[in-house]
Amino acid sequence: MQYSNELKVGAAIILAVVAAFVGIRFFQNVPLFESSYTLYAEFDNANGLVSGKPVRMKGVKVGSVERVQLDPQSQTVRVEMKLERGPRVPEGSEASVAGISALGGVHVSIAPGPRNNPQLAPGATLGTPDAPSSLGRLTEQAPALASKADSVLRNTNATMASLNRLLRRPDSDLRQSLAALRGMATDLEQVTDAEKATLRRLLQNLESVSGDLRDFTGENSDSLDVAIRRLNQSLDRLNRGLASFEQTSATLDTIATKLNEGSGTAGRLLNDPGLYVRLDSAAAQANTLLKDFQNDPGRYLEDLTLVKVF
Amino acid sequence: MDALSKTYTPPGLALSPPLDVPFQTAARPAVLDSLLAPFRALGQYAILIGRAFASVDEFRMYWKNLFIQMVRIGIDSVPIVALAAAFSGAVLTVQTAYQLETPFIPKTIIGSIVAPSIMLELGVVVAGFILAGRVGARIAAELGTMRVSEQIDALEVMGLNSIGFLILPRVLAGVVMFPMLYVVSCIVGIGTGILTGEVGGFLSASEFLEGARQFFQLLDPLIGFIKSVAFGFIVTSIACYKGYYTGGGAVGVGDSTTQAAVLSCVFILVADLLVAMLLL
Repeated sequence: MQYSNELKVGAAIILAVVAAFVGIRFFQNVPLFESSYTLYAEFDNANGLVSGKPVRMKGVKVGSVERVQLDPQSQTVRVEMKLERGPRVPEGSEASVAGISALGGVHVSIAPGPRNNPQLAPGATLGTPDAPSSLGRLTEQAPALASKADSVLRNTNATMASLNRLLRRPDSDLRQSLAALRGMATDLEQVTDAEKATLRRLLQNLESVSGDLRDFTGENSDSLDVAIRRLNQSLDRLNRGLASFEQTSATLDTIATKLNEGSGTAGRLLNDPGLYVRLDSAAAQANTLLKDFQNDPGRYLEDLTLVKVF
Repeated sequence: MDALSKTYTPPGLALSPPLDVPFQTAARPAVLDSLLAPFRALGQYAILIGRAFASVDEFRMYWKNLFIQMVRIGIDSVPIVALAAAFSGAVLTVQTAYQLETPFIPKTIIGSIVAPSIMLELGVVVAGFILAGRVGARIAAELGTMRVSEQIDALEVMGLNSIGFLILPRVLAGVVMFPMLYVVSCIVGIGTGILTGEVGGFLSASEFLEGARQFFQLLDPLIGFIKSVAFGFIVTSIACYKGYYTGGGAVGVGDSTTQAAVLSCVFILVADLLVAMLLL
């Protein structure tokens, strides 16, 4: 069967237009037939995120970024994401920008919430994790740590160097004190040498004294025993007293804490300025009332008058 | 010495402002004439194309002609364009993979280089070159033969507007059908790129697509589209101009055919650079 030229041309053009449209949508990463829904997320920093970048949940692609906008009011980056219907994103999920933009791998990463939570409704805004990951924190603080370590090492170095310099200088105090120390040692040696006999006698005396002491304790061991037992008892009592004192102080402590926190009547009294303020204003009002009364007593007395004569 | 001075002026054209009378009558040195030849050719070309589009109101008479040309220029060219695109896509993938063979570059980058290259440049320029040979030479030979065998004169004698009848359908067919061929070229080129990566073991199809999607911009196919329209106009209009003003006999037809193909290629490259500089 022969087709007319018009038919061939028309079919070719329509095919090309459809193919171009489908191809462009395909490369723009928009699901063609699968229905999708929209979720939002707000970030402090987009980190190079642009539309068309993938949205991943646990590393699996579940959609793509539709639009990235800077909110002038809140100074945050609002990201609109198109997600496929299939995977469930439970409530309590958190979104973050992950990847390195230099390699083009930046994407939105969704950490899913508890499995049993209901699915997020279309148009909902995902939360963002509060604290950066421990690795991120470490990376943040690493430069500071490194510089601190560096300065410590440098100080140590400087100290060692100055110590070295001091030691090397012949007239330095350190050197002199070392020399004096050596002199003292020599003197001590001479003295011990000279007084050897005296020292020996001293030691002998000391020995006899300790022997006497031993005899004495042997004779009076009973009374010493009693004395020690008494001492023990009184120490025990003291200990108990201290324990109860400790309890008391703990109770006082809790009371003080309560006062401080403002719980309980006394605490409220102490912490809540309301009462003071009210008292103050009451006093001030009473003052004005009294002044007014002084100025024009009749105004008040009039009401008090029980019987009006005229 | 120059082909244009021998150009036969058809009776129908002689009534309208004469195209080549001034330099035939003026007594100017031959050097100056040859220096001015490009400008004269450009003017002649512009007037011819202007007349072709001016006769658009008679177009209803030549309606059938347009579809014949569309089939010959567009649909009949699909196989050769697809073949060229397939090879360029395959070669581009293999060579990009070879050049990026370092562990630090993710394989997806191959996809993000190959796909935009085909959309922006290779798909449309390769198709343009193929068509400069296939379509440009064909049009120039056709019209040139009609000129030297005095068929164009016969059309004029019959009262037909030969420019509207012969040139306008060809140029319009080129402008409309080149973008269609560009789409074919892109799809086949990227498709064979993916296939080559998968079969040759360079990267998987999903890696290729991930890379291609990562850096996809709507501007890429848009610029390719603009280029394809421009190239369609360049190839067909230059071929029509060269064929319509063929002089001499069989040798003149051969000259016009060669010049049509060569000039089309040159101006495709010039237009390619201009579009890239203006729009990128």
